[in-house]
Amino acid sequence: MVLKTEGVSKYFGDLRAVDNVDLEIEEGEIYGIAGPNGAGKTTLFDVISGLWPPSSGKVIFKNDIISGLKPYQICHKGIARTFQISTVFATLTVLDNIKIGAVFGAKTKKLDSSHINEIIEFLGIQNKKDTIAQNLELYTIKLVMLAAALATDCKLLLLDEPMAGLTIAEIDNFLQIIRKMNKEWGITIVIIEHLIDTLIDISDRIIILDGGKVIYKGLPEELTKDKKVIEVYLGKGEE
Amino acid sequence: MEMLGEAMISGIIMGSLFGAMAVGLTIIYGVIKMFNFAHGIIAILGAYLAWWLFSSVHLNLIGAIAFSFFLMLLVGILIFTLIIRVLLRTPRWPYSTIIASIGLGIFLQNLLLQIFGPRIKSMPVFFEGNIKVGGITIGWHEISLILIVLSLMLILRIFFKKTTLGNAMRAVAQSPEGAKIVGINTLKIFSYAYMMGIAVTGLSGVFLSTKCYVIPHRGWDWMVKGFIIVAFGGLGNVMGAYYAALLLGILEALVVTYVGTVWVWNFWFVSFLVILLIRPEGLLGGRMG
Amino acid sequence: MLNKIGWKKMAIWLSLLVIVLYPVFFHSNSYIMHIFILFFCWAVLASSWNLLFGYAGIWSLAQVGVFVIGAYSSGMMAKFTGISPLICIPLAAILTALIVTLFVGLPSLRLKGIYICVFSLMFADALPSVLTQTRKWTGGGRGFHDIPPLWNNISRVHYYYVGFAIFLISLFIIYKIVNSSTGKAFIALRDSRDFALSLGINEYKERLKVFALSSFFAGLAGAFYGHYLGHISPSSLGISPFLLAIAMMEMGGLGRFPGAVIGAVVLVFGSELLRLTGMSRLTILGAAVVLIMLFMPKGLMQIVDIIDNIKLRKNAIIK
Ligand SMILES: Nc1ncnc2c1ncn2[C@@H]1O[C@H](COP(=O)(O)OP(=O)(O)OP(=O)(O)O)[C@@H](O)[C@H]1O
Ligand SMILES: [Mg+2]
Repeated sequence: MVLKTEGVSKYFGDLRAVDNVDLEIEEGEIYGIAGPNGAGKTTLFDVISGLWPPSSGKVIFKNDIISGLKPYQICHKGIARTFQISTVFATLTVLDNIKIGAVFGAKTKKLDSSHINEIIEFLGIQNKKDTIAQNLELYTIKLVMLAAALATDCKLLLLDEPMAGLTIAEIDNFLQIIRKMNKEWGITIVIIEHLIDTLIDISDRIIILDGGKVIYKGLPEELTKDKKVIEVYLGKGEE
Repeated sequence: MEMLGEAMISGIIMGSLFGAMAVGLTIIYGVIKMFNFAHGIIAILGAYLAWWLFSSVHLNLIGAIAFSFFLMLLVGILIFTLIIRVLLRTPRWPYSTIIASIGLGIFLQNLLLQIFGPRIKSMPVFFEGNIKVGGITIGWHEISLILIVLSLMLILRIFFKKTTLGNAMRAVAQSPEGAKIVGINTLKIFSYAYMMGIAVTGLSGVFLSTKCYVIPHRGWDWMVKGFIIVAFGGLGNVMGAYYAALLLGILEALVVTYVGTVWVWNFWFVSFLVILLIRPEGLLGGRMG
Repeated sequence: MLNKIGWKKMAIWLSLLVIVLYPVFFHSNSYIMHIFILFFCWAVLASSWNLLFGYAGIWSLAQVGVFVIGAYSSGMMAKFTGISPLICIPLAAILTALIVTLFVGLPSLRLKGIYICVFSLMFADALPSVLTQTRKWTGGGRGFHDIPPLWNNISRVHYYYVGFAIFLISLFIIYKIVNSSTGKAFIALRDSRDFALSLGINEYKERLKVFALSSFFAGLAGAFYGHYLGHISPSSLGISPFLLAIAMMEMGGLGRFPGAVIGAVVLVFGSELLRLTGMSRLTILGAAVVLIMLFMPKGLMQIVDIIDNIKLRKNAIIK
């Protein structure tokens, strides 16, 4: 087991954004998360990556309790993430964006430029290396965000709706990238995705959140047969 | 015992006056989310206008104050249209409005200095005479100030709770996006809030000038005090600012009476540090109203 | 042919040459030399502020106060201990960095954006009253006088070259910092805090670092300034130096190198001109700050960008 959460909750005042969530994520799998807007998916990522400490519960990464640690410490343990709202360092070049991840995120403090080049080539952004990030279009911004996260040498990667706003061709590309990272680089992936079909397609296991609670946990194939899920999630006119 | 009583009274008076000044700051921050770094100078400007209308144009006291209030509304809309509105459209507005309002404040300060000269100005008291209550002497003027500020606060409270415009301002304060969705013209609301903030601040300057001497550079001290009060009461919280000002006014008067005048500024600094470190959102939280 | 980098390098080397040679040819005009020395101090102050405000995006308004702390520390150290000012100046800069990191940097770790503005302003505002209460040593409101000169029988030309050296070294180091990974971390935290945190940047460490670095250079400039003038008083904490420095920083171009230096050139020499013509400096400066914010939000560095663009286009046409 790579990552485990035990009864993790996060309250904003009276609002239970994440409510008593238990997860066990196995090494090497692709773990899908879905749920309606405001279900607490992003907040769960925020808690795992340390931006918020949990209001209660524990997050365990490779047998270490990481809840309560600062984000940079969690990053150094090997957890990286991307953000739902695409953010990069707007005034830095693409290369500098990625270098931030490599210099500050990796445990070995030495800059490994061959590793950076490998990532850049893998994502196909060689010719954008020297562009200032604020001049990029959405797809490249998402790739840069991913590249910087990869540069931290992560073992576990949290992707928050990485394909929102992309064209169908771009989505196909991105799915390939995710599979490759998972298979060839051995990175465990947790992915939040609104499109259920896409999620079923790519995930080994899936959970559905609603109102901060886990309402389904299991294999993708059985998801569409689950009554609760149909009621809460698919019943809302999504399909 | 008498000393304590007198300290309390003078604290309540100064607290009321600074409360009135801080309210303008908190309205502008609450709605627009920008800090008005020209704030102290705006208060001074209000005082100077009233003083000029009173002593040079020879309006009567009420006329001078009312007309200066009206002029301050104009000043507010002018600054908003020419500067603030333009800056709010740029992505870096949180920063550029700070710098621009610092520049504006210094511009106004020196303009006032050039027009009116460096001599100290003050307004006459509203009512002569005083009364004695249990060995403590209070001027009728002071009592009138306390009551005027109290009614000003009540009027503002009713305005924010009961009127359509007040409700719209609160809606914008809570969520500009949400307000836009329900069809509120946020820019218009911003301009009203700014005008109102400036005019109330000018009025508070008039009141302050009946109790303290007024020269342009004093505005910066006033502004910093205003910031502390607003931080204490919770940014954007109108009644919070008033209560915080009363509390701090009384504490300040106690420090002056029992510790010494030289320590007042340190007292403000330490209070500020403590409140920011313990409760960054202020004692009463940051809700508008 | 001048390429894209060429003209900038030329401009920099040419200005440095003028500065180096100026006293050789105009030895007699000590007034201009005095203005140059002031320019050195201001340029370092504004650049150090730009590091904190522009690059790291920490809205501290206390930088002039930091400069004055440097001046007082070095002046008092030299006067009371008799140690050579040449040693006191760097020591005072370190002391300033310590004081400011402790009293402004540390508390402001818990604060966000606008609160740092208010807090740092209060810190600077509290300094005069601290000076009054320690008037036995600091001279209080009358100021601290008879600060020892750098060495005996020093002439203005010497100050000129020492000031120039401090200016060069400081700017060189600041340039190195903003182009190092530390500088990139400051920018990263400013541009997108959450992303920066998730990529392993230790926010507290970097913020303390930038406070320490920027106050070191401000303190250094202030220390030199104190020895040069021979006295320092709380009036340096007034609104006019504050405005001047803020205007330099934004007029040059916030978060750009060497924006603050260009701003300092314009404002030091410009405000001297205003003084000579007898116009009200502050009214004009205040209005100028507002106008720059409205019409030239990227400062004078925008002109550099425009020239760059023209050159690029020309090159494209030639090709
Ligand atoms: N900083 C915050 N303060 C207060 N409430 C918050 C905060 N962040 C999130 N929330 C609330 O927590 C709940 C969960 O939000 P979250 O962003 O985690 O949902 P989500 O599942 O990611 O939704 P979406 O599909 O829209 O991305 C929402 O009701 C949201 O309003
Ligand atoms: Mg989300």
